[in-house]
Amino acid sequence: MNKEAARLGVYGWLRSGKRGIEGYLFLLHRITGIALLAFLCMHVFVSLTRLFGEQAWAWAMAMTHSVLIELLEYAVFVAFIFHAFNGIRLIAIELGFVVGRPAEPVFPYKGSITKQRPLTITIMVVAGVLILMGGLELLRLT
Amino acid sequence: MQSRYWFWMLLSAPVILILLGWHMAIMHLEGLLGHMVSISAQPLAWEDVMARGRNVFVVTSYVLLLGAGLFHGFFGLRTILMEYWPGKAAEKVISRSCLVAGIILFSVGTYTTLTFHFFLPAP
Repeated sequence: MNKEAARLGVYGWLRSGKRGIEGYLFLLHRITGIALLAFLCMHVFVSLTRLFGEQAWAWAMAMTHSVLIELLEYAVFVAFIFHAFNGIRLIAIELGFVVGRPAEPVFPYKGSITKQRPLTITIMVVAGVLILMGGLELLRLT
Repeated sequence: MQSRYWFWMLLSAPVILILLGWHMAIMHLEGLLGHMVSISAQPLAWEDVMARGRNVFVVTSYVLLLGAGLFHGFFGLRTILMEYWPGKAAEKVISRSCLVAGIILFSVGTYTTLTFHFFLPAP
């Protein structure tokens, strides 16, 4: 039970405080996770149209041929890339990588966040490049 | 029990990363990756959908991806919801709701995939 989270509500997501960039990545990780789950639920039912034959499938696919749906498809791609790469960062930290060895606290104190920051920046740059490359393809900019 | 769920949550992440990455690549990035690997130019065409539906590897990966994705997604959603509705009674309602939704979606998705694979019309 997280009393502080319950007290702040969803508004608490927006207050990164001392967590810095990682706090906002946490917020985006949750938002993209919920969005991807919602898409998966919808995708399961859209795929169901296959069972009604070629015409039903063609009808379902025709419904996806609009600028709005193509933009949403790209949004799903962006959400997936971000969630996946931020997830790799979170798993690395969870398993004890890049957080540094335990040491006596000596002033001026160095937080674990400082040690994680290079990984955070590297991973986000790689994710950004993939998001741009995917945009060229999905938004037909090539 | 909670740590066991957390272990499965972590384990499902690389499974999703690999299978969903592959799924997205062949379904949406054919123009970009088609120069490097053999990918259908029209993955949503009925003939291509049928060909994938016949492929045991594709069907297995779809079911695995669906299971891993639903578990990862609903366990994550459960964690978020339990932060805002703490308490044993709320935990029970949230956990059971997520479980039921996950089972329904997994059943529908698996039924679609397997029915399409085993009762596919002849080409």
